Amino acid sequence: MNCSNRSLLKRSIVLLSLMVLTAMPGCSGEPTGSKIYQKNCSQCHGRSGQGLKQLYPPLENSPYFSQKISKLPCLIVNGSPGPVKKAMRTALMPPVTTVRTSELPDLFVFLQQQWSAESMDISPSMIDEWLLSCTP
Amino acid sequence: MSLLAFAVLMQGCSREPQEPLPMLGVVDVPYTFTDQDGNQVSQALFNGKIYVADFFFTTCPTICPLMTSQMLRVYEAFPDQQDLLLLSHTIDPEHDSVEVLYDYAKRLGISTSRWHMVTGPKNEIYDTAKRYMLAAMEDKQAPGGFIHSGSFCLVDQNGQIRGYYRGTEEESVDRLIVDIKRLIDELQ
Repeated sequence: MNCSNRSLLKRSIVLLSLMVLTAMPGCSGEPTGSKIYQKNCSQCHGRSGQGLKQLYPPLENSPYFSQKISKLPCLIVNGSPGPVKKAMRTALMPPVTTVRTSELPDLFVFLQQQWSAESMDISPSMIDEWLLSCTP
Repeated sequence: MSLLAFAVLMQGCSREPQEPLPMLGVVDVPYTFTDQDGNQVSQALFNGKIYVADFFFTTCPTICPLMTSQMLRVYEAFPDQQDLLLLSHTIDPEHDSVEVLYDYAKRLGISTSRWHMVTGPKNEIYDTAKRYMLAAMEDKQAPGGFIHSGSFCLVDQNGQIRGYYRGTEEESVDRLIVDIKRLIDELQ
């Protein structure tokens, strides 16, 4: 009983320090882009970008993080472009309505760091520009 | 040392006689739906079987992908179990035709004989959700256009509901897998 009490105490200390750490702004271990990813993208693409079977593609080395990156803002905001045969709709990505366009720059930094060999500086104004070219 | 204490404590717990899973009501569904292979699926298919039911739609951007990956864990946990079936109802039958469900199931790599994904008249599906005591409704404001429960409902071989589990949470689905094993043991 003594032992389990002590382990409980140890666990509470770890938990408490974790809570203090995450509460300190700027000191949190998780970068903003990672949080945006986990909140908006991980449901389908997985917490570590692994995807799910043939249903949701894995993100490792996706061309959307390198040569097709200018298409990524429209893909996220509007989903995959149509027209496509109705039966194939499940193969398409739905619009991600929960993400704000102001969050895209941080998200893009994270996506490139995690899953792309190449990374380039994407400014918010580039993303705005690319969003103007969307064909819904 | 603390691990040891924990292990001893746990063992103490498992020696206690286990409470049987609760009986939460009998499911009675009078409708016939169509699954991803175009087969007619009615309640008769589930007579004498343990099964897990849920409500989803294939283009759902929020909780369904998590539910699908968790239901897949249940599917993969019992590869050779003939007494267990999975039953997912689409709440967006206008979009989720047999072809769409077929495509979805094929991408998931699942076998229809173990996991039926069904579509049918919308009012019958929504009424079925009520019979499982699960929420499902249309809402243009919600992401994807529908509000629905993310729960999995465990039903035993007599049509009795034996538990609800959060289909979006790994720990809750771990518990579902344990409870399914208990029901299977009870069958033998």
